[in-house]
Amino acid sequence: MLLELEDVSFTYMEGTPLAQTALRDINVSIQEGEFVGLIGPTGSGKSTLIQHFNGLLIPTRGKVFVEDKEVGVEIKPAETRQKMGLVFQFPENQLFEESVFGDVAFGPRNLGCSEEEIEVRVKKSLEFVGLDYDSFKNRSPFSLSGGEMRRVAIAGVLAMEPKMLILDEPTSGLDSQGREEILSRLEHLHHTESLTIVLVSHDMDEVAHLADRLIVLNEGRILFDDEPRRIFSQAQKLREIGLGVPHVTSLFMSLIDRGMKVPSSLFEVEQAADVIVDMFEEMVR
Amino acid sequence: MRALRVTVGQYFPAESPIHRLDPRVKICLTMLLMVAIFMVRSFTGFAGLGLLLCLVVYVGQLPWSWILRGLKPLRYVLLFTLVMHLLFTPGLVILLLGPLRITQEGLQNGLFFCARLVLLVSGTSLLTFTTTPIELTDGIEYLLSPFRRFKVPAHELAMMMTIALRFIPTLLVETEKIMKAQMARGADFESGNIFRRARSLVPLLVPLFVSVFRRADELALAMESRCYRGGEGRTRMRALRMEGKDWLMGLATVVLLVLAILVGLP
Repeated sequence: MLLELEDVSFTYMEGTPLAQTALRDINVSIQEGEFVGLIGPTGSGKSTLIQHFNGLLIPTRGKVFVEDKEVGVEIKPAETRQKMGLVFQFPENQLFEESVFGDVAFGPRNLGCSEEEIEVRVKKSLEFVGLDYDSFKNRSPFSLSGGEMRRVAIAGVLAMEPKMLILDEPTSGLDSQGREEILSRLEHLHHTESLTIVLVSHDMDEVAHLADRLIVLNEGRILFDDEPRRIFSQAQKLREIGLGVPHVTSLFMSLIDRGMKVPSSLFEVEQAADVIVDMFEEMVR
Repeated sequence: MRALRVTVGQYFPAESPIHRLDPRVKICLTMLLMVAIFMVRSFTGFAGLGLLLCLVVYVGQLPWSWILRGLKPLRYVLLFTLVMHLLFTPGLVILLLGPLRITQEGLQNGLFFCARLVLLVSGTSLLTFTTTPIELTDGIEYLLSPFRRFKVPAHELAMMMTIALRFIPTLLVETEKIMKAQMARGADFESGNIFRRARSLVPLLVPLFVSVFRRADELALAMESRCYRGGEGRTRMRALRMEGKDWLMGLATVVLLVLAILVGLP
């Protein structure tokens, strides 16, 4: 198992009046090659949870295992950070070097890679995120557009060659083109490199389309952990905690309400189109 | 993570008589306390002031760990003070360590100045522990306003302080975020010699400065678009009002402080 969390609970500022429990009894495991979507309303503990994945936070209670080794006991937190690449929200805020090359090279350099190795990795990572190495390597990261900055930051994590890539709302604040670009790059990475990806989001459409497994977090607990289609069939529950369902699903739900016989768990536009075409053909007949 | 452990200048929420005291009284008393700490010339006096501070901590429902953590950054300064006094004060030698002579006066002076520093820092931190930044700056603005006729920009100073204080927690959170992001890329802020450590701060400081400037720009814009133009003719929503308890508490503390000074005089 690539990652396993056992009865993990976490409390911020424990022992003070400001103490706040962010996670309660989380049990979750992620296998190599999975594409997991992690969703939940604001303050549900998503960001806290993923910081347990790479040893940035150590659980108040419970255990975290990376490749079957307990973090903090059998494997150092610093070591897990290379294996579990974590991209924070608004990662462009972490850029600091004079050149794109220097910034992407920061991670591998910290790992002690040789200069040749660093160059190979930087080149590869920039290409993964769809930036041309030769035209970008010498530019200042602060002269790039928002979407480009973000992709440079993601490349900075990819250059550590992690086993798992965890991204916290990688598309927030981007225009639809930047959003599309990042998501398609992630899909590509998952397919060609079979990289394990955990995508944190609160946009149902985004996650539904990409992930083959969804984890829904609410008030620090796991509410659902299942295939997207099965989770979306529980639309009522999702609405209760302030999450929606994908647009297609909600369209089909209202069709069902009006007595049409359509499946309730569809969320892909193409499938939905097929179903609607079939429906019309039947009506004509 | 380390950033969150800084307690100096932080507010500790509680419902205590100290918290409810008028901020102007608290500011004046804190200044008086500082004067007292400098006037006191004996350990008995310090003990008295120490007791007074303990009483405030107790009544104010503050955790002792916060006071101790507030003193932690001071530990090297204390050590330095003590060692310097131990080694370089002439007088009655009580211990010989090779070429080093430790004198009784040195020990006394060392402990004396350390006690003074500890009292100063913990005394002033009590003010910020029990007063919200807003109350604090309101108090300062009020206390400075008589000096306006000497062209002291009381309101602007207070606004600058409010903004600075307001952004301390924000910047701490931001620092922690950037630190974590860089740690996720294998950065190491805690090991290596002093030069390595200083260099390791670059990936933290550059993004932090970038974000501070961006925030400052955004804040200025947000304030201007709400027609802020300084203190002239500005009224306040919550005016400070001295009540019986404020006068009483103030008076009681003044008496205690004067007593401490009298006891502490040589």
